Amino acid sequence: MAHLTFTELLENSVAAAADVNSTLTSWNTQSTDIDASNVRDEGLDGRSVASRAITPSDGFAQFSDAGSVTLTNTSPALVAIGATNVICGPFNINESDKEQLVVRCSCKVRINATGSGAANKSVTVYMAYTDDASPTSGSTWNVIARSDRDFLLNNYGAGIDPPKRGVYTVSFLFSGGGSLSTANLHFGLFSSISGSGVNYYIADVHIHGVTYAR
Amino acid sequence: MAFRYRQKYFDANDALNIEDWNLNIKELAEEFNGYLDRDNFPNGSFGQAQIVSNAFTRVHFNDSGTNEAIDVTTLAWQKGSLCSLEVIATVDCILQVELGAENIWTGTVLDTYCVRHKVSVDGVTVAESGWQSSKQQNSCTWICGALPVSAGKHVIQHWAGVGSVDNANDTAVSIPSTRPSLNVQDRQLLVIERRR
Repeated sequence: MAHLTFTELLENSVAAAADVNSTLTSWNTQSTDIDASNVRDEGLDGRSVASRAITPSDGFAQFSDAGSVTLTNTSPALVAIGATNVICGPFNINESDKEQLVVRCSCKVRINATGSGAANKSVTVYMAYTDDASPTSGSTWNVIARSDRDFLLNNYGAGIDPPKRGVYTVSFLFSGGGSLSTANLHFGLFSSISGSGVNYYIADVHIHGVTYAR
Repeated sequence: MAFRYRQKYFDANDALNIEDWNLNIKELAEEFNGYLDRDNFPNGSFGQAQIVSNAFTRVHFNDSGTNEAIDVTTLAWQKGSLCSLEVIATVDCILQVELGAENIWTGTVLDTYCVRHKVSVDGVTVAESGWQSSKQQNSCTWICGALPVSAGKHVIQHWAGVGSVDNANDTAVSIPSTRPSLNVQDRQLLVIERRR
């Protein structure tokens, strides 16, 4: 804390240079040490804080119901709707400065089959990240641990359609190990189905991320 | 605000009263020694570098991919090894809670045999899902809620419960003799502690 001292000048006394200089020296020395203790409690409000000081980066990507895709891939692949990969970013994070990045994603999942055709077919959806500045399906993607969700249909007998629809929603605190510093984090949505012959559908994808810096 | 009220004013040709001088300087010093406020700083003066880490927000997170077998012989809420967090709040704040979990049923699934999840803060339920049928053999749950809390230690806990649900009143009424087993697999508990 900058604590300013003040040497009073006394009535009927000579105004000594030392007394004046004492005050000026204190103020000069302390002028670079002003901190929170110099500010009164509840003395600051939103006006005082610069834009993006608290949440320096955020972003979202969304694809409406019309922007759906029907897929058949049995190996995990980056979801693309039309010509657009389902990717959200870039996000900046400096974990050494205790910045924290929260990411959320939701989408609809549907398996396009009924009866025995859909028996035991499972759709897996998960999220992955890359620090590629211009990410593509060919970038190095790292799976977000425990972000995967399975949607399994079962066969309940002839004439009985199994449930075909599900909702994928996850939210997580991204961690790069505690010291990651990058300006290029991107998050993508991946999916696959466990067997061939049945297609599935993903729509209404929303990915949102926000960095909490303070 | 520093020197908002000038105590004494000097006019030309006045004899300098040293007490007036002292009063003005003393007022200024006292304001600097702990009473500066927003009126002293231009808008947007403080950026990320000037604010201490976690001053406004702290994110807590607990996740697990270990199968948690839910006891399907009881209607009671269970916590087992489901996610939990202990948050020590230094000041009054709001806890924003988000829970995601994956339900994996095995065995003979039943339309009316269901699972539900909830999150509690210090025993107070802040978010609770509806019943999800085991007929959705692999499915996921996501719920969120928020609660203002006072400074101190707080425990956030994920719970799960199963039962055969009476469609008439949406309550779990029984445990059938033939029932599927349930594992809660991948799961995340996210808590955002907002202070201002």
